[in-house]
Amino acid sequence: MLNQILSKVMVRLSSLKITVVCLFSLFVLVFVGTLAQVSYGIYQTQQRFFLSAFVWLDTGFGFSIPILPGAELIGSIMIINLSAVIWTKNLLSVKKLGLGLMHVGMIFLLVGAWITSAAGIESQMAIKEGQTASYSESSRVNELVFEASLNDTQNKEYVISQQYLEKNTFVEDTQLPFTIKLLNVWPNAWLRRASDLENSQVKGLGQSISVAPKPLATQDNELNFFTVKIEILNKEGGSEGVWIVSRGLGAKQTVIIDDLSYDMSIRSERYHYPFSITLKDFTHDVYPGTQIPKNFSSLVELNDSETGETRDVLVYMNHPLRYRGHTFFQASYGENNTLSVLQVVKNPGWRIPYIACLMISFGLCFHFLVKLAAFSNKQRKREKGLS
Amino acid sequence: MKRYITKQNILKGSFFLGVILWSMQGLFGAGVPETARIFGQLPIQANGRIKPVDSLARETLLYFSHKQSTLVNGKKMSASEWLLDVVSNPDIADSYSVFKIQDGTVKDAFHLDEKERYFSFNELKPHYTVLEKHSISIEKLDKSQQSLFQQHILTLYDQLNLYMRLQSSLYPSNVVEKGVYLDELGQIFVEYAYLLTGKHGVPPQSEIIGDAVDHSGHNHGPSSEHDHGNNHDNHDGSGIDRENMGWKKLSFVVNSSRYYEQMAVFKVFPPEQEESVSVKEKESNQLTDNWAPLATLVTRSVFTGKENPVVRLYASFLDAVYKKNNSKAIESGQDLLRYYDKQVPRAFSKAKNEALFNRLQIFYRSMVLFLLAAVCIGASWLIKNRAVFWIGRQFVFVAFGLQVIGQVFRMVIQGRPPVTNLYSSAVFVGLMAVLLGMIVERFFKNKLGLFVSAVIGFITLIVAHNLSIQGDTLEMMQAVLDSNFWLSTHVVSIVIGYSGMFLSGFLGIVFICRYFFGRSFSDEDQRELYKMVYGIVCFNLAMNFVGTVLGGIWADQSWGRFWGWDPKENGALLIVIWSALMLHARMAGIFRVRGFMVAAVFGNIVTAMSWFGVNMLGIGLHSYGFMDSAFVWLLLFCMVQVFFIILGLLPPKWVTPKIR
Repeated sequence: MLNQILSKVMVRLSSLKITVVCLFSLFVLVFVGTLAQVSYGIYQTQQRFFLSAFVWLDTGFGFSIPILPGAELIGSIMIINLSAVIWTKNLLSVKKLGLGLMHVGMIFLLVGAWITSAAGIESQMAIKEGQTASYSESSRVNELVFEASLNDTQNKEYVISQQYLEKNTFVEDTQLPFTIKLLNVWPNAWLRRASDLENSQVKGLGQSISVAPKPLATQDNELNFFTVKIEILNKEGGSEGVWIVSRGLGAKQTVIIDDLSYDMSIRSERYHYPFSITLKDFTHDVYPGTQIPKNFSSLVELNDSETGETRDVLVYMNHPLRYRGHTFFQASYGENNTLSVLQVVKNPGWRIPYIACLMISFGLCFHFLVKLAAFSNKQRKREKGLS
Repeated sequence: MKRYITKQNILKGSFFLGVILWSMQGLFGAGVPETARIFGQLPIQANGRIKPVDSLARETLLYFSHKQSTLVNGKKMSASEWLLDVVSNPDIADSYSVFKIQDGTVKDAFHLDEKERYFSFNELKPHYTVLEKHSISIEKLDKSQQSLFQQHILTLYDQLNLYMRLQSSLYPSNVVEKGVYLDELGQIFVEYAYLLTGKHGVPPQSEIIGDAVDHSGHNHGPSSEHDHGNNHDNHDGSGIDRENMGWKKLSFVVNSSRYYEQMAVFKVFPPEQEESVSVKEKESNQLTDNWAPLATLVTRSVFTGKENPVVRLYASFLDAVYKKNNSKAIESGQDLLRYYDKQVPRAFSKAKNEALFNRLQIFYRSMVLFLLAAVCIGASWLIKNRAVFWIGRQFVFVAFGLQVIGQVFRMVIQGRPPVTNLYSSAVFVGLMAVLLGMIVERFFKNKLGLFVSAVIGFITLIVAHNLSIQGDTLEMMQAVLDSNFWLSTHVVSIVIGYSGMFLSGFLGIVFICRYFFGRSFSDEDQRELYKMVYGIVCFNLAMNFVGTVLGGIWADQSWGRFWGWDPKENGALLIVIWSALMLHARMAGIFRVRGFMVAAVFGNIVTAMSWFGVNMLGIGLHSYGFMDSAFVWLLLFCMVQVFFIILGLLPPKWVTPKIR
């Protein structure tokens, strides 16, 4: 009885109609998601169309409606649909090798895509010639940082990520010598000079600034001025004052708690590594007499204090440095070819698409060739029959 | 043996031979004067690569007039011949009508003759200052804000500038006799050499050059010669004056040299190499080093007193051409070729091969043959004549053979896989579609594979021709793309996928046409065509998927991400999704025979969009500039497909009630 119900459900789930609807929605989604990049830029479009369950449209009446299924939703339905098909059509048998491989591979591909979007981190490491870096910076996300110098040699840093700031109203921790109350958070903001009266309760630079929300940046070269308005409370619960801290403010602001002075600022989120990279030389070749770039390359020294590994690596187009789960690519350059920007990618699922695509490609080609051979046999027989 | 020598076979054989001879007529140097042929072969460096003068001449002429040759007094003139006149005899070349202006508003703005399409430099020169004023203000606008008129103004301004730079790329355009000019410069050196050798306690040569340039501040070009000439007349005589005169003359030589160095569109000779460099290295350096323009060599000979032979050889060649002394011109031209052959053998042979490739015009000839083939095969259905079909088939074979030769030629010249830019992708899509079509024809033997091949071959070569107007088709690769491995795997498989999509799409069109307009389209014929398209769609899915995945791997290797949803990736993905959708909808019973065909035609739109559409996205959707000609053509193509799709969706009884 239960078996019957199960197989009935499975047959329903494996319906080809679901497949066709999924493929069609995906087709529409990708098409619209490509056009949308013209006005929203690639990053926002990715978030809205391909890293969400629904594509929401702001109606302008204070609420949004879903207008398209997002890639996450379509992908999930496809995984269910594919699994059911493999079950009901018994695609795992040797006879259906080609079909089985391509459909199982497809599941792998979808799962791999999900892992990458959930766990992959991209950041950038900018190094000047002769300098050393042991951290990279996010180009999208920021962090709020409090720096205190304990003595001449020792510094202490307290870092709170943008994600945490956007989701909470209080920042409290036993390690943190104070509590932060978040009065306002702007993912991107206009900063304007204001009259002193407006912000009289605010201390520091924020006194003369008025903040207004701004839509998120659409172009890759635009920066989001992530801004927060915070009240700092000491451990006894007394207020130390209100500050406006923003990515758009160049200078750091100071707060003194328990006789220790903290510099607060907002900067790109940093990812620290147990190894360091020194840029020895950056070269930028062009074809003679033109501006067409021929090659970019960075000669770097990799220095791992934990393993004691020290070596020179040449990072150039199509030849990244892969080290300890991170990959460093030549991404950009600046300052008269003395600054090199490496893209740092951490993607624990990077192998999955390789495996998945190998399976699908093999499956497709195998199936096609088997069918072609059968067809050409039939055709030959028919010709013989005719003559 | 004898039974092969029938009347029919002789006829067939001579026909075949005729077609091949026609295709290869470029080998015999048809119609090009010897001087222009020699000039066309000379190796130069332009746009970062070594090429023959002929390639530069063709691409420039294409840019100006959208054709690779021009008409002078009703006579056809080759590109090399035209460029030779431009550099040797500017006065005559200025009267050649080579600038194509189609935009009526541009013609109006400059009071040009409405009915003319081509204009000469002489006709446009009076408007240059106005054009310059306009262009400077237009250039400040963002490209997306420029109107079509403004863009045409900018193009015309750019064309005129390029033309003027070309005139002075070898010797300054106001120099009539190059040999005399060299002698005069040499005289300056002889007269004032003592200033440079430092005998009178003056600084050595290198400092003088730097000093002279610093004083001038900017380059004022050839016009200053006049002033110096006057000074010379007034102050000849006293020692100090003579010395001042000398400095002025020398600094004038340096300044004008600087000016012409920057003006030069192409460079003529590699730098001298140190003795220590090995022979093999020297050879490869010939191709990658930064060559020097003729102006630099001229100045160097003035200052060192040691003349680079190229300087004098070019001068006597151009002078002989100018004086219409044909035998002298050929003689000195051949001297020049011999000198290049001896000094830079690799660059010389590279340029010579490319010049031959240009002269053969392989892709043009196969385009003509494809058209003839399509006409013949189409006609063979109407008049039911086997001989006409046979002729059409030979045309396809020869055209395909030519295309393969051309493709291999390109690959050898460039040392690259077949597809390196949009132009070559168009050529390759055609090549592969024809190959696939011929394979399909082998299976089905119903003439359709060949017919559609010929049509696609013709269309893609037309597209390629129009893409070639944008510039050098053998251009150097951008750093990001510089990977022969990925170019030969990912790009090639994607492009084969495109050709498969077009093949199935065009067969879909054939189906729809026969369904609605054909007299007899039996169920059996329908099923056969359906099977053809089905097979090709399966192939398309496999090919496009593999190609897209290889692209993902390349992206992962160079940017650290397998997939980034960027427009080009999405375009490829759309093709894959559409192919998969077609196959699944067919299995689900949603697409029957006709529906499947209509879907295949829609595949044409998807492919064209992914191939060209995504390249146009960046231009901005809300601008006038977006409506450039390529976009219009793309839209037109899509509209034609939509027409067939709608036709395919109509209930059959509406269209041909009397037949069924």
